[in-house]
Amino acid sequence: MKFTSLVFKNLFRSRRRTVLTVLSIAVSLFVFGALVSLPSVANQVLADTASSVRIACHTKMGIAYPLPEAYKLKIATTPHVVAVTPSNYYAAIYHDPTDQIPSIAADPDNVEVMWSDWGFSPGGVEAFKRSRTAALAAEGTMKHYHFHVGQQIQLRGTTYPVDVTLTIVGTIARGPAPSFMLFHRDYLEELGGRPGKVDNFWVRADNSRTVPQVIAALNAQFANSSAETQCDSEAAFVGGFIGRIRVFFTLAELFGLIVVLTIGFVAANTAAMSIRERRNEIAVMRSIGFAARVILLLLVAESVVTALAGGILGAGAAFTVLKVFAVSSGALGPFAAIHMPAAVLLETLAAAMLIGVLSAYVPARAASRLNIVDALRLVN
Amino acid sequence: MNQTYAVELDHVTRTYKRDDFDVRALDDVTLRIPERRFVAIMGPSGSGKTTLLNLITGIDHATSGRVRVGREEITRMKERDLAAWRARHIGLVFQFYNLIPVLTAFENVELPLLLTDLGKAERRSHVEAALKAVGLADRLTHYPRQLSGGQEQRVAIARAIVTDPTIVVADEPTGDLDAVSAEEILSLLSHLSRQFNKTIVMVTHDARAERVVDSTYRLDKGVLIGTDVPTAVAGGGR
Amino acid sequence: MAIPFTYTRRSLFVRRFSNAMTGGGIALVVTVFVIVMAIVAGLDHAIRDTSSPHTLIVLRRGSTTETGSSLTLDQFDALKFLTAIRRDSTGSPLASPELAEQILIAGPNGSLDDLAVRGILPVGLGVHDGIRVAAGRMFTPGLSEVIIGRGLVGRYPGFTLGSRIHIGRRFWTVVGVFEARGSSFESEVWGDVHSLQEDANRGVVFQSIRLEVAPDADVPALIQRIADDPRINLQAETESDYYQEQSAVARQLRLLGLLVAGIMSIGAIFAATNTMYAAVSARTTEIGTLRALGFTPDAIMASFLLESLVLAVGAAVVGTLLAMPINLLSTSFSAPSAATMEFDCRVTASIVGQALLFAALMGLAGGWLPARRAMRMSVAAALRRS
Repeated sequence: MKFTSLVFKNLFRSRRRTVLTVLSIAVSLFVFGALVSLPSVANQVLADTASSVRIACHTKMGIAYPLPEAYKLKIATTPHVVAVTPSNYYAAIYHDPTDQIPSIAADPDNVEVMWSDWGFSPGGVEAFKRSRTAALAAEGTMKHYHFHVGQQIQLRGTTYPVDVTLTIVGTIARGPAPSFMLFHRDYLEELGGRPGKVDNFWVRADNSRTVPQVIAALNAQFANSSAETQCDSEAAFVGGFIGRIRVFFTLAELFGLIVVLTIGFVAANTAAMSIRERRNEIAVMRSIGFAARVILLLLVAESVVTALAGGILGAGAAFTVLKVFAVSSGALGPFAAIHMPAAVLLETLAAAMLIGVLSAYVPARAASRLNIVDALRLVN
Repeated sequence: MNQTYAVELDHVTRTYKRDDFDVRALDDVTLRIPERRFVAIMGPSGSGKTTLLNLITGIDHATSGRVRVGREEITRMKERDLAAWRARHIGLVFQFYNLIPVLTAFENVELPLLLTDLGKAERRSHVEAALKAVGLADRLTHYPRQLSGGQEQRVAIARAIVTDPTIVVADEPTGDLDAVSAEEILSLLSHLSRQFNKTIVMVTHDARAERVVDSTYRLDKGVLIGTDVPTAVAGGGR
Repeated sequence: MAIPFTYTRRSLFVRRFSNAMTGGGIALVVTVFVIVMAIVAGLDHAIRDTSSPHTLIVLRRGSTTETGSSLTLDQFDALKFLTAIRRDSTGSPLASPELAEQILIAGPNGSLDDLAVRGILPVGLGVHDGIRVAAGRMFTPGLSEVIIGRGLVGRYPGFTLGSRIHIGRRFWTVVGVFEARGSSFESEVWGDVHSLQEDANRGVVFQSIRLEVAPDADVPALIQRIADDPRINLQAETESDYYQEQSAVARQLRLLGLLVAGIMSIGAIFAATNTMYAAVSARTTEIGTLRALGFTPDAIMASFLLESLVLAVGAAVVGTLLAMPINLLSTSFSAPSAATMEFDCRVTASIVGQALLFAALMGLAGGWLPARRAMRMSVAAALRRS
């Protein structure tokens, strides 16, 4: 189309200004993309757990107070309960305090039923059940520490005053956290002197509709006992964790919005100025015979091309940076590594397009409609 | 014949580079303008009139030669001193008035006074006097866009005389005006020159100017080609 | 010899669309800056370093916080008689084994809050420098008695001197209120460690040990000894080092915020530069006229810089006002495996000052090049109508 060459020629007229505009849009959209990824990933985590049929049971007092082992049988015989897995949290480090590997020590008998969506490696679960010191590790952990199946490692507990020696027998593809290990609760019990305490009972209901029923039944069963339970669906449980820092997600989104607004102002400013400067040209073009609408389209197209260029640069940079620094940031806890989801990438490009269109529209419209005689007179 | 001259140029040349060419705007010009005269500098475009004016006001610097204005040799003055000198000794009138659009008539005329030590009340009285002298005492608070071309130029003239300068320099003051306004401006300048005994140097190609000035210097292609003193110079201007 | 401020003011107004856009950009950058600084100030305030130079905190090797640590009675027993530890008047070592728990309690608006409960032995009160019972008395070990920090009074139902509160599995009587120099301890409930262990049914576990070092003791040597002794094998650090680490989050947040604001400011500065260049370009004749009238190049530059500055600072005021609602934000933050921190966001006078300065710098940076161009214009060229 002959107009595209016109558009590009105009953009390269003031190369400095175009480059600077593209760069500043790129920089701002980089910040936007990085910021908005945080709540986006968190929301994804929440969405993933929303349909889960798992229930987490701990005491009403919080994790400072554990539940007795003996509850297992009572929970297992509750209607609609398919499986029960008692588990304890074992916060651990590998060598340095920065090598955090949050782990769970659980009864092995039902793990493939309880966490059927975790993607255990073939043969991993059988090997896990066979040996008391066996462990399953998240793929992220395997990669990060260069572990291999069959390797024996030692984890240093922080919340438990004991260290554990484990043999990795399999992997987990989609565990609760990018860095994570699963081992036998019995082994931990023995090291700890058999206190018979459980931090959390994971309970699997037969389908999502019976979850509320099961929760009510469990809570009722242990009400007025020495250890009253608080059972939550997995969605509520995870939501609780994330909810504590929800305010920061809101802030990240707010900042993202502010960043886009700021760059919008800057782009609008640039567009208005460059269009104002070209008033005479536009007048001349109109007097030659270009329709006002065509001119409007040309001007807006210029702006959109600039903004999109900036958007692609910025989004690409954010995507790359987040991938390279794939950190399981403390912000989301152990739940997910912050990366740039495809949705955010598209959002960023969409923002760029919007900026391109909106910033140029008003001045372009005014300029394209200027009375030709007036405009030519302004050539002074 | 006056012994003191308002403006003295001695073998003044001004060349500057335009791409690869050397352009001689002024070529070995020597002239003397006596004090208290209303003179015109005329010539076709490109003759160097504006350059000559710029050299007299210190806005531009001669490539060679000497320029003396009001007994000061300005060729050697430093930029900062030139600014101060200009504020004190020169009044400028431009073809396109060059009023500051965001300032009122009063404020525009007041501008040069801000470069002096005068207090607010004194400045006010000078400004009012200057505007009165050009016949615009009732337009103090108007902005330039609210004035006609002729009125704008009068404000500019008021600005030019408000500091009581040694010389008033006008660059094509009637260039953008219609016939009636042009006549008024020329008449005003002539009147001011007589009433206040001011030296006024006017660059122009308006043929009507010859009737009101005391003498005319002609330039062509950067060279002074002649000096005329009109025979019909009667007292009282045109 | 300055160009009048009227000129600056009105010139800004003439190009109001352009300047409003630029001002808007600057204002938003300032908003982000103020919000971040307010959060950081709140966090800093919450983690106020009231550490004592002669108190050590002892944790499990590799732990970074009290709640992410655990140690046994044996380890405590092996440690408590080290000679470098200060003794009280009766000769007992000033070493306090502690259990700091987060226990859920129903909050004022129906949510579940984390209540910080600390189990100590009576010696603990003496080990914590500057903490004293201001009303009532210290709790009696073995009974269901607690003392609460000054900051907790009235925050939850029953949290007053003399009444009973329900924590964990039983009711406790509030026998005293303590103050702690405004530190975060004032949001804690302190009770007998054994009673709390029993209530939680967790056996005899501790998380940390606080100890006072004897005057003239060799602190690094003590720290080394605590680590090297196989019966102890714990990690000791001074309280101030510990607080430094806790405030790492606040520092990182500040850094991140400054980074974001800094990056955004580049865009804003660019906008300012663009606007000013266009203004200078449009006012070329004016500039020439002012020079011709006798205003010095410096005066011209100063005038344009002033214009830029006024725009930026004005925008900063708007931006700061926009950020004010953050003052209403009072929230809690907990990184997993760290204690929950309650904090209020606060926009202090210092932050406002910094914001204005930041904006002024943006204005100067943006206006610098265009002002220089205005200053350096050749008067003759400026006057020549092209």
